[in-house]
Amino acid sequence: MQDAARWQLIEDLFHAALARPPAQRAAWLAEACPPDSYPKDADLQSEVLSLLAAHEQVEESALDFPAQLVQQATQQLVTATPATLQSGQRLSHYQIISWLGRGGMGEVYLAEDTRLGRHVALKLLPTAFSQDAERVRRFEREARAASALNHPNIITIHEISTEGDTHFIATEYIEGETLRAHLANQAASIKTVLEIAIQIASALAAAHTAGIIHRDIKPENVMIRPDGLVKILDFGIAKLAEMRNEEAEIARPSTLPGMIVGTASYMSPEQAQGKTIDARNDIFSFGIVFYEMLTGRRPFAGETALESISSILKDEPPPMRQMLSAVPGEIERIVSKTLRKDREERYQTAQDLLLDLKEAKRELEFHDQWERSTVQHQDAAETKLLPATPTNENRNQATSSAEYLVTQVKTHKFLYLTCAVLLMVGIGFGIYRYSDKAPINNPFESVKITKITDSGKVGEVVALSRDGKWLVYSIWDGEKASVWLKQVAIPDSNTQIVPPAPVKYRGFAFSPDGNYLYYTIEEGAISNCTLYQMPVLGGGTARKLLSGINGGISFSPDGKQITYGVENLADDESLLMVANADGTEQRRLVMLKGNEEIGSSRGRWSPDGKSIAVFVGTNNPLTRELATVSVATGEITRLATHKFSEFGLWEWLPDGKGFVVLAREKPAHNNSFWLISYPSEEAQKITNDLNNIYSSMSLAADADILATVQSSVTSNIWIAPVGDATRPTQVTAGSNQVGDPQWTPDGKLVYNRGLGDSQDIYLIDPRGGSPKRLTSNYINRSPRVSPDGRYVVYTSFQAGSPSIWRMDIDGSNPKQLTTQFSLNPSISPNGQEVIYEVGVDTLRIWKVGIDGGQPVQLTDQESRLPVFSPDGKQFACLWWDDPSAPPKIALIPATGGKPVKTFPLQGQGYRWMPDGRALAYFARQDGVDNIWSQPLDGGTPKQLTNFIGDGIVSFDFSRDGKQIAFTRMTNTSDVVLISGFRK
Amino acid sequence: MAEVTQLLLRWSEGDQVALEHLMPLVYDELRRLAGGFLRHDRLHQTLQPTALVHEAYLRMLGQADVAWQSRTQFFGLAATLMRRILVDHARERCAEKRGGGQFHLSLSHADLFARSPEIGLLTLDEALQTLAAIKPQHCRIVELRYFGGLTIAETAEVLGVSHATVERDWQFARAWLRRELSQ
Repeated sequence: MQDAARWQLIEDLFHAALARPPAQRAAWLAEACPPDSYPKDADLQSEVLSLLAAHEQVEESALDFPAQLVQQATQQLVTATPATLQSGQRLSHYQIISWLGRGGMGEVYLAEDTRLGRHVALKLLPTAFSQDAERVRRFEREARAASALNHPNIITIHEISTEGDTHFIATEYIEGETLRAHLANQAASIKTVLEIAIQIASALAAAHTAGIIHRDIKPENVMIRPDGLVKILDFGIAKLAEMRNEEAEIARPSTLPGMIVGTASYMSPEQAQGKTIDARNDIFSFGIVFYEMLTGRRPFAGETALESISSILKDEPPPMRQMLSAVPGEIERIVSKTLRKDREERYQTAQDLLLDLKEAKRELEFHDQWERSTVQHQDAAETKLLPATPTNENRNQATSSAEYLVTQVKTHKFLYLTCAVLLMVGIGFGIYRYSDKAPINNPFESVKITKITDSGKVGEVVALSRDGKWLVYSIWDGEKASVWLKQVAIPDSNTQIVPPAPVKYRGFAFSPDGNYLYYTIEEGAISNCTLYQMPVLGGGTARKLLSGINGGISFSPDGKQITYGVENLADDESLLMVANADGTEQRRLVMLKGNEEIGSSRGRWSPDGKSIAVFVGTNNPLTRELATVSVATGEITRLATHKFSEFGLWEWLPDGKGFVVLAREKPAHNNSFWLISYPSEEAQKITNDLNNIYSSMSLAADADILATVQSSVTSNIWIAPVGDATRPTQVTAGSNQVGDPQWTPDGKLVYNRGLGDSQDIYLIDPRGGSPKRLTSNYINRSPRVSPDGRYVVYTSFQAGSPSIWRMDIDGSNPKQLTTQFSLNPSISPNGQEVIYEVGVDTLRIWKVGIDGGQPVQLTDQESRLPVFSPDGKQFACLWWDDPSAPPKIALIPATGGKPVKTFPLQGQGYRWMPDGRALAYFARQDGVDNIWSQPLDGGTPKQLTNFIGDGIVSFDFSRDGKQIAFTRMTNTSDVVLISGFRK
Repeated sequence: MAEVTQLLLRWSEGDQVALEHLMPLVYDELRRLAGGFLRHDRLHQTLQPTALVHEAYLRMLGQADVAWQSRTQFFGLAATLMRRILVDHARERCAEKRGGGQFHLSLSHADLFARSPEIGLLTLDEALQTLAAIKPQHCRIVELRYFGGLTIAETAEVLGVSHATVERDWQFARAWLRRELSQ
């Protein structure tokens, strides 16, 4: 019997047995499933019996076993990172904003310097350490010496101080990641590694000149800002603070492995032997870090601190060529000179090291340029080998403009950089050929990402022609989509080839000969698309080839066949299909059923024509693995891509020896592009993108470029006259994460901005001027302005859990009004009272005076989000008659009690209309958000605004009712080219 | 924050790009909360993942009257992410303890759970994966109930099935898990 059917039977028997009294269950079961009727499944009865027994245990036991496990794990997760100081707490003139982590020094917090209004990193010394007076003295002396260092690559120390028993250091707060995280997150190019190394060496040179030794150079002590600037942390400090642990560690290596290995691994031989150390110690540690950046491995490894130390003392580092076939000899020489065991043989000063590193970089750059111009000439010779392109004239034009740019490179370096991507398009084929002759297996490439459209409204799918010269994409204006053709190398060469129509394009593909565009259009669902074929340059009508296909198609390399998917929802089947390029002779290659799924919508035919890459996976839990399907036999071979938690798009590399995929390792990570070699399945990251989403990928088979659609989200506050929202004015710029705008009586706006641990309230004059931040401690939001414009009442998390606070309109005199778990305030029109919601699991509405005092409960049933009416006689709120059903809007007297009236909930963000006769809210219709009003007398809702396209998130009417402020969220998406990921 | 509201709405309308944006935001928030959660007032409380999920909801969405469906949807998403966070964390801890080596889950005896929450959780996760292969919806129900703290009614709302179905499946799933974990 099939697994699924068997399980269904087990479950049915289980429930049927449960319906009977416990004493009769076994007997009933024996009768219901006599062993002989299931000859192959004698276990059925015992299976059900064991489940029934387990059920009884569940019922009888006071402890819910799995719940207990989950709770323990949660507790453990939280206690693994206990914080000494709480958000909002003060240390000297620093106010803690959030806990950042635990460093070599002890705990590190993000804090605000309340005197200077800037963010700082606050490092607390471990208490054990601060009790040793001699250590404290040494620590302070070193820290003070380090604080005198003034170098761009050394973190600035603002203050070294003591408050009570707590010794702490306030330093510059660096937004970025440690080199350790950086190494884990991306494969850096040799050039990037050199740039980082140069900055570290430069910092060391400056410090050594000033007579300061770092003592603990390791990836955890090197920060990298998003702009690439490197900062070295904790000069002369970290080691002092850690010494105590280390001594303990070396004495008892077998009991505490792991913890200290990281530090021991970066010691110099003289340090490991306990000898006195000098500046050359840092040079050795630098060498280890440099080696690790280049190869991804430490030169001296060990399971325990002792093993590491023993390796440092006696082993020679494995030659880098074993891991990197193409490491430049110069770099290998530098590494080896930093890692000499005898310090007399090492670089004697960081300055010498720095000079050699800079020289190595210059050589590398020269080599790169030379290589590129050589490749260019090969391209000119090989263009004849390219497959036919739409017009020969255009191709020649692209080649010659590329040639022109190369000659310019010699004189204009900046131009060279900005044009590099365009160049790649012209010369990509050449590079690929060139590298075939001289294979380079190292991951060091400089990846370039260039945006080549600027409409911000590009639809989800794109395709590049095989030679990488033509791009097809769509533009979605909110209602209709049009199809555009662009010559990749030529700016402003966009031609509309299909006029706007209310359709959704789900796939584009050029035929390999470049003459036809194949596209699919969604018919109600992505799993039901129709495939059309049209000449790329027009001159003929579109021909319908197939219907009922899932997403897009992919061509066989000879252009004679296509592959596509079919989703059979009724039978829960997914199929991978193959057909002739004209849609005839369809045949089924693979069919998967039930929880197993084949992601056939993005099948990609291999360059050798023998297989098709697809994903296969299960729906619950969600798993996705890349697999190849043999075209001859339909056999599925899974690739080891399970290291990725999410898995999106893929393309074969032109030589069939790997893939480019879009994936992320953990949900918290962003998507990145990866190279996966095939069949060896090694993965290597090629981009390290921060904030964008990619929705499509097309790789030019004959070039080193891929096109993708990149989208990002921003939100901003806008204002418009009520009744004419067609020409709104933008108030906040370029930012995102803003919301909840509220008018002041004099026509200014307060709003909140931020995410996570820093959300703050701002004030801005929409008639001009820059925003002023009113709060600066932890999370503050939901600002409401008092009718006289004197106060802002808001929700603040500064005391830990949310409570209602009040401050003056300029941010001064904050005063806590409630101590309950309370949020979402609304001020009465006479300015005397504040109503708000209380609770997490049960939600009730309370009120308190504007100056605080004893709170009073107003509702005794599930209710939240109260909003005072303009006359102050009642308030509107969300109201649940039945806690498991959706809520309604209720009108409740200002004195509390039961609703006098309820309405069904229409939309969101409801506010009173200024006249008090209707409630306004925003709701979405046909993909567009607009503001509506619902008259209290029960009339039909009326549309107040006429927005098109962008989403509204929150809104507020001005006091005179003439203007409206709203938050608008925009998605922008454009085509970007990624190049240089492969040589 | 406004962003989160809108992303949630878009997601509820079937916009998968919105979910892409939303997931890392919620994951990060939950992780960050776990890092700084231990405040004075909660120090000695028993901490359920529900508390983190609720806190994340309040911090990310509490100000906006997000539609009811979106609210349960958020909890549904947070439940999944909470499970991943706990599993990721347990893996990290095991890796740390073993000096970076692979950890094999050969231990599934009940009394081990008390000693090592990491192994207990990884065993539970493994059992849930097995359950998912047999009965995907059962696994989802367990996830929503245990990791998201959803009630039967909320679970039914997220899954779009009836109250009775959830109760019935929940009953079976718990018995199955109990048997699996005490083997």
